[in-house]
Amino acid sequence: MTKKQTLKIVAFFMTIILLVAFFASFFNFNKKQECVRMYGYYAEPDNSLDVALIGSSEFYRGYIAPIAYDESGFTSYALTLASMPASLYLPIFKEVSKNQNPKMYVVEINGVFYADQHEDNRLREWFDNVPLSKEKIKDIQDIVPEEDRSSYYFNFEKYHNNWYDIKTCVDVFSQKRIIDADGYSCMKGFYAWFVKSPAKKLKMKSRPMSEQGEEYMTKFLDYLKDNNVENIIFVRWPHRNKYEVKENYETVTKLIESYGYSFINFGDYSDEIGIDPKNDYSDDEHLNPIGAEKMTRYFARYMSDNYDVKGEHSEKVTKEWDECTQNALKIIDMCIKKTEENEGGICWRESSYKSLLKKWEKENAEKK
Amino acid sequence: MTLTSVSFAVFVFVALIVYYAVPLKYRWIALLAASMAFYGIVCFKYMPYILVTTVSTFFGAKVIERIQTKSKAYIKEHKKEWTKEQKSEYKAKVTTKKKLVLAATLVFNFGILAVVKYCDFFVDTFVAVLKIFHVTIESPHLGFVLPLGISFYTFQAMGYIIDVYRQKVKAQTNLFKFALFVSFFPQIVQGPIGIYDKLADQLYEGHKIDYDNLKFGFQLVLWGLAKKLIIADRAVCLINYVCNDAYSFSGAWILTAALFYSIQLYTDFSGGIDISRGVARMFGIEMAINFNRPYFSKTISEYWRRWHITLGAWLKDYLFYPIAMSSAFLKLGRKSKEHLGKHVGKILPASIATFITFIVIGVWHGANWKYVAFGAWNGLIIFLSNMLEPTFASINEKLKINTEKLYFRLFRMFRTFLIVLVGYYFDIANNFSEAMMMMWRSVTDVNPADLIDRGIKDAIGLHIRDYLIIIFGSIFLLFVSLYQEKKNCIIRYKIAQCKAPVRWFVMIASVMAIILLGMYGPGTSASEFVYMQF
Repeated sequence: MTKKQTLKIVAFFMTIILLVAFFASFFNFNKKQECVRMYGYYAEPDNSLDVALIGSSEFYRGYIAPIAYDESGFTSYALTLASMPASLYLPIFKEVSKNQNPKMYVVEINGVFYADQHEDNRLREWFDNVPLSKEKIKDIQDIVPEEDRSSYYFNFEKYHNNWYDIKTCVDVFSQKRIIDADGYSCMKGFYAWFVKSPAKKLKMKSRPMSEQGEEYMTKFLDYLKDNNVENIIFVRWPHRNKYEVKENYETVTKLIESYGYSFINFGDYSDEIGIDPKNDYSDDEHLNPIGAEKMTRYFARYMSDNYDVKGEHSEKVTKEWDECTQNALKIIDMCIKKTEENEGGICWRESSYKSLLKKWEKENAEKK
Repeated sequence: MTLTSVSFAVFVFVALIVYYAVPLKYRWIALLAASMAFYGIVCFKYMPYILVTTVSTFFGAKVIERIQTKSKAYIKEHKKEWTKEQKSEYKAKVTTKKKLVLAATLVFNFGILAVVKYCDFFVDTFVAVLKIFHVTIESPHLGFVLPLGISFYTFQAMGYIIDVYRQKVKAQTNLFKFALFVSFFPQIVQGPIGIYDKLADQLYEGHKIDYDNLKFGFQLVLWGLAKKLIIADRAVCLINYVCNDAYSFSGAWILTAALFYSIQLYTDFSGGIDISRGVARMFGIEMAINFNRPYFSKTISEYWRRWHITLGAWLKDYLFYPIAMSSAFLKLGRKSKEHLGKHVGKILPASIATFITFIVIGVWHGANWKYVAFGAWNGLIIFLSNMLEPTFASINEKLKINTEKLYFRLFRMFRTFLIVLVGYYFDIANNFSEAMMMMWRSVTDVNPADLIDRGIKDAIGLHIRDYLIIIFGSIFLLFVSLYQEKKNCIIRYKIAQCKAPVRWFVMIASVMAIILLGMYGPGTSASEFVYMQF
C-alpha cells in the first residue's frame, strides 16, 4: 500500500469522525429545554455564581435568577432538571464545584420522593449534557445500570435517529447559538408557563421518601459531611397549600437535620410571601410567572438577610448581569401580563424571550 | 458481539493490525488467534464443541488418507503377483475400512449436531406418538443451547472429510491450520459454508496489505450493514409484532408481515453474508458468493441456485449426488423407464433425491415440523415441476406463448416469488398449524382497511418514516439488483471507475446513511441475524 493510499484512508476516517461529531452535537437532546438550560449554565463564566440551586422543576418554573439579582444583588443559576432524582444531587453538586465557587448551595428535596432513582430519561437529562470527564464516567458507573452504560458515554448511539424530529434539532441548535452569541443565557433557564390554574379538586397526595431516594440522599449528606461542606441549605419550594402532606417530608427533614443542615419549607411561608393559591400556580406543583416572581423576591431577601451571599465580581460579569436583569425585568413583566390573561403557552426559548422583549419595547414606544 | 456491533468493528480493526503486522508466513496464526478469540468472546463455554469437531475431523481425515496411502503402496508392491480379482477384493476391503472411518466421523459430528439441535424435537415427537396410543408422559426438555455456528462449521468440516475420502483434496497435516479452516471468524456466525479446496489455501498463505482489498472489503461491509441495519432491523418490528400473536390479526396484517419477512430475511441474511465476505476480503480472502439476486428467479429450482448458494452446493455435492447416483436409485431409474416411460424414468430418481435433499434443507433450518413442511413444500414444487415439464411445454406451445418475452419472464418471477412466499409462512409461524391458519387468512381475509388501525400501527413502534425507509430502501435495492442482473457487474468496481469526488461522496454518504438511518442503540429492537439460529 502506498503512502498516498494510507493518507486517503486517514482522510476518509477523519471526515467521518468530523461529520459524526457534528451530527452528535446537533442531534444530542433528550428534552429540549433541559438541554438549553444546561448549555446556558456552562455559558456562565467560572466562579461567577454566588448561589447555585439544584433541584427539579419546582426551581426552573418557580425561580428567576435575574429577579433575585435585582432584589438582592447576588448572581445565581438554577441547575435544575425535570423530575430530577436524588441520585443526581451529588454528581450535580460536584460538577458545580468544579467551575464555580458559590457562597451557598440550595437543594430542593423533591428528588427524594421518586421511587425509581435510575429512570433512564431522568438520568439522561443530566448525563447527556455534561461534558465528558473522569467524574462523569465514575458517576455513570455509580448510578446507571450496567447494560445501559455504553450509550451514556457516547449518547449518539441513542440519539442518532433524532433526525426524526429535525425541527426540534434545529430549534435546540439555534437556541444554543443565541446563547453563544450573547455569551450568557438571557433568562437563566426559567421556564414560563402562562397559565393560572385554580385547582379543581384538591387531593392529598401521599408520596413518602422512597427507599432509593433515602439511600442517595444519605450518600449525598455523607459526602457533604465528609468534605466539611457547610454552605448548603435544603428547601421545599411552595406547592399548592392543601396539596402537601407534611408527614411526607418530615422524615426528610429529620434526615437532613441529623447531619446538622437546615431545611426550610417555603410552603409554610406562602401567606407571608403573598402567594395566592388560585392565581399563582400553573398546576398543583408549580408556580406560574406571577408566583415565581413573588417567590424569587422573597427567597432573595431571605438569602441576603440570613447568609452572606453577595460576592465580588469582575466588571464584565457585573455588566452582563446588569444587562441581563434589565431585560429580564421587562420580560417578566410581559410574562406576568400573559399569565394574568391566562393566555396559555410555554416559553423556554432564548429566541422567544427575545421576541417578547421586542414586543414589549414596541408597545412602550407606541404608548409614548 | 454481533457482526453489526461497534465491538465487532473494533475487533476486526485490531485483528487487521495484528494480521498485517506479523511476518507473512505467520499470518495464518494471527488469523487463527483472532478466530479463537472471537469464538471465546462470543461463547467461551461452547468452545469444546468446535474443538471436538475440529480434532475428530482432523484425525478422521488423517486416518482415511493413511489408509489410502498405505493401500496404494501395498497394491504397488503386490501389483505383479496379484490377480485382478485379488486386487479388487483388496480395494473393496480398503474402501470398507475408509468408509467405516468416514461414517464414524460423520455419525459422531452430525450426532453432536443432532443432539444439541434436534434432541428436544425427537423427544417431543416421540411423546406425541405415545399420546396417540394413549400413553401420556411429560416431555423431558433437555434445553440444549446451540453453540454459535454449529450447523455451519459442522457442514464445512464434514465436507472436508468427504473430499479427503473422495481424494479430491489432501488431508491437512497441521491441526492448527485445520482449526483455522473450521473456525475462520467472519464465516462462523452464519456462513457462507466454505469448501476446503477453495478456501483453505487462501487462509494459510499470508496476504500482503492491499489497498483494493481493504477498500472493496470495507465497501462490502457497508453494503451489508445498510441492508441489515436500515431495512431488515426495521422490518422485523412489524413481523415480530404480528407473528408473536398471529391469531389476533387479520389476513391483511399477516400478508403484510409475510411480505415484510421476504424483505427482512433477504436483507438480513445477505447483509450478514456481505459483512462476513467484506471482512474476509480485508484480510485478502475471497469467500464464496452466497446470494445471486434470488427474487429474480424464474423457477423454484433456480431460486435455490441463487439463495444460500453454499448450502445448496454442499447438499448437491454431498447428499443429492450420492443419493441420485446410488445403485438403488439407478435401479429405480431403469425400472421406471420400463414401466412409466422415458421422461419419468429419467426424472423420477433425481426428483426423489431432490425431494429428500429439500427435507434435509428444511430440517437443517430447525427442529420443528414447520421446517419439515417448508422443505417438503419446496421439494414437492420442484418434483412436480420436473415431472410436469413436458405438459407445461406443450401448453405454452398450444397457447403460442413466447417464453422469452419480458411479460412471461416477469410472470414466472412473480409466480416463483409467490411459491417462495408460501414457504416463508412456515418460517414466520410458530408451528405448522399456525402456518396453515396464516395462509388461509392471507387469502380469505384481506381487507386493506385493516392496515389503517392506528392502535396496531402505534404498538408496532414504527413511525411512518420507518415504513418509507423500508419501502425506498427496498426500491433502491431492487434498482441496484436490476442493474447488476442486466450488466452482470459488481457495483463496487463500477464506483471505483468514477471520478474521485463521486467516489468520496458515495463512500461518505453510505457511512453516514448507516449511522443516521440504522436501527441500533437503546430503545430499538435490533435483532440478531436470522440465520444465526440455524
